[in-house]
Amino acid sequence: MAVIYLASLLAGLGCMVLLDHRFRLVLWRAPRVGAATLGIGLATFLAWDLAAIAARHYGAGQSAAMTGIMLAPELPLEEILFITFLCYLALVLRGLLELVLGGHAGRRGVGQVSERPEGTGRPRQAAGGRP
Amino acid sequence: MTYLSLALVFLALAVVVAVVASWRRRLGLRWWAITTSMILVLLVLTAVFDNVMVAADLFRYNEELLTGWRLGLVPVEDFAWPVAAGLLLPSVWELLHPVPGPRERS
Repeated sequence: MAVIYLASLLAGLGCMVLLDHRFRLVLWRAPRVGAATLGIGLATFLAWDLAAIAARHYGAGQSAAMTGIMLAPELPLEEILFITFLCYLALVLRGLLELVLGGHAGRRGVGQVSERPEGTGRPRQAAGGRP
Repeated sequence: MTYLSLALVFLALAVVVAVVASWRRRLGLRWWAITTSMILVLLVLTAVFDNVMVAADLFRYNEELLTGWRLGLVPVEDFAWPVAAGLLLPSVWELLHPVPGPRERS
């Protein structure tokens, strides 16, 4: 019971890592920039959390689904993973939407266009070139 | 300080970073359309999962410092999180990318 929330977060993160790896969205697209971006996001939301906890806006609950490991007063271990999850989700989701909404990779696509199996350019040209 | 005022501080920070990124990196309508879609998805996910998380007693709010407006169990202030994340993360991502030089393909 005590690991349900932690396991859910890790499972969600794991799925996003798989998507990232498969479609080269964030860390598999630009590892350094991706890691630095996540680091800045993590620091920002941790600051928000600490400020909110200091101002007594909210605190940890008594859920049996949490490990009970606290990193600071009212700051459970799971919260760090949740912040990481939220930041990574924003980037992964944006990358997926970029693919779905038919975007070309743009100026930052690290080899993304050429490596995409469903590259839009070639089939159209091939079809047009048929006698 | 209420939860709303603190949320607005961080939201303002995210907006500033997004405006700077938009200006410095000349992010167009398409970038903003995709980013807005992503934020909308994050808002829906927040509405669903934050309700589950509050119901599971993962965290508790100080009622005295809330506006009292809720969507289900979730205080409206919580929705500042996905908006801030949706603005901040892609903007920082853009700003951290080196600007391509003239010799690189555009």
